[in-house]
Amino acid sequence: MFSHIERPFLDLISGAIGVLALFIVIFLLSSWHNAKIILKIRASTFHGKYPIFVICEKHKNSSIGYGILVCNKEYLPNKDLKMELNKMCEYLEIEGLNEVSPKESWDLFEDFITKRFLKNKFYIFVLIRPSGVSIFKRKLDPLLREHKLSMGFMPIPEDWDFSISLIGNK
Amino acid sequence: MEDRSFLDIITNVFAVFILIILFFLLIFRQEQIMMVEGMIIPIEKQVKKDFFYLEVVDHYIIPITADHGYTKYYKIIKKDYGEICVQKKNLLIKKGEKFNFYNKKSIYYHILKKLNPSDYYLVFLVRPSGFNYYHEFVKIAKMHNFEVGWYPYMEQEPLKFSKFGRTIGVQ
Repeated sequence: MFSHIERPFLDLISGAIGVLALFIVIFLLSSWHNAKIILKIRASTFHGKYPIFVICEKHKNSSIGYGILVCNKEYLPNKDLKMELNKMCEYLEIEGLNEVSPKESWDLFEDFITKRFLKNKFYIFVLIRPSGVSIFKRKLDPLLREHKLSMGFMPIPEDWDFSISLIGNK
Repeated sequence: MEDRSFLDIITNVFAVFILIILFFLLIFRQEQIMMVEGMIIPIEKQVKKDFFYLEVVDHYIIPITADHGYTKYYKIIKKDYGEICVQKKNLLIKKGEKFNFYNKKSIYYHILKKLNPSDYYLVFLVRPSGFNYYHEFVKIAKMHNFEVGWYPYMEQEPLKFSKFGRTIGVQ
């Protein structure tokens, strides 16, 4: 009698635990294969100028892409440079870069390049996502060339993150 | 019968124990991170060397320039402003292995051995499908002492070479 009542219950519990364990193992294995990839960018100064980074990419539901200034200041070596980058980021934020259409954002970006970009202290380095190829070629590349601003650019896949460090700085 | 129930209980305790270990692994696992080294020299600059064009599609590298005895893999259409290069039909389906970066006998490695890096720099014209692999290609080119430039192209965009167009420097 004892075994007739207990065993099916225990079997059910074992079965449930087994299935749960299997799901966890599958999840762990799948996340092992989907490792996060980080592009380690080792930038250098150029004629005493420091890099600031702009990402070209297209958001979902957007017809054309954006150019986005990267406001991470950690790689810059001193307080003044960090503050300058902060000011440039604040300017774009106050002007509402995040609240306008991509088309309007490019007018603002041009305004930023002509009036606020500190070209004696910084140069622009562009990170191009696959979705941002078109906007880089149509907008940012001609814009920077028109203003004779030296720049570098690098491809970065859509789902990769990036870290920035300056050569010689830890 | 009681012995079997006892074994069942032991099995269950063991299973619960395994489950708890898996649960902790799930909670405290560290995120898997892979680092890819980016290029070091940042600014595009012009150099007094000849350039050698290569198209990058996925992990395939195809020489566009037909000099140095390389077969023509592109049909060239002459225009007033310059020319358009159109890849020959089904090239990658028919001869994929020849352009496969992961094949050490591919044409890319042949080019790296044959060209002189003090006379030529490599210009990669990169389709979005090649973005994941580009940094690997450059690393190998730099190991062979080549300077490298690149420019992005849309997946289906024709390869236009215009006399009024942009010169692609090295980075």
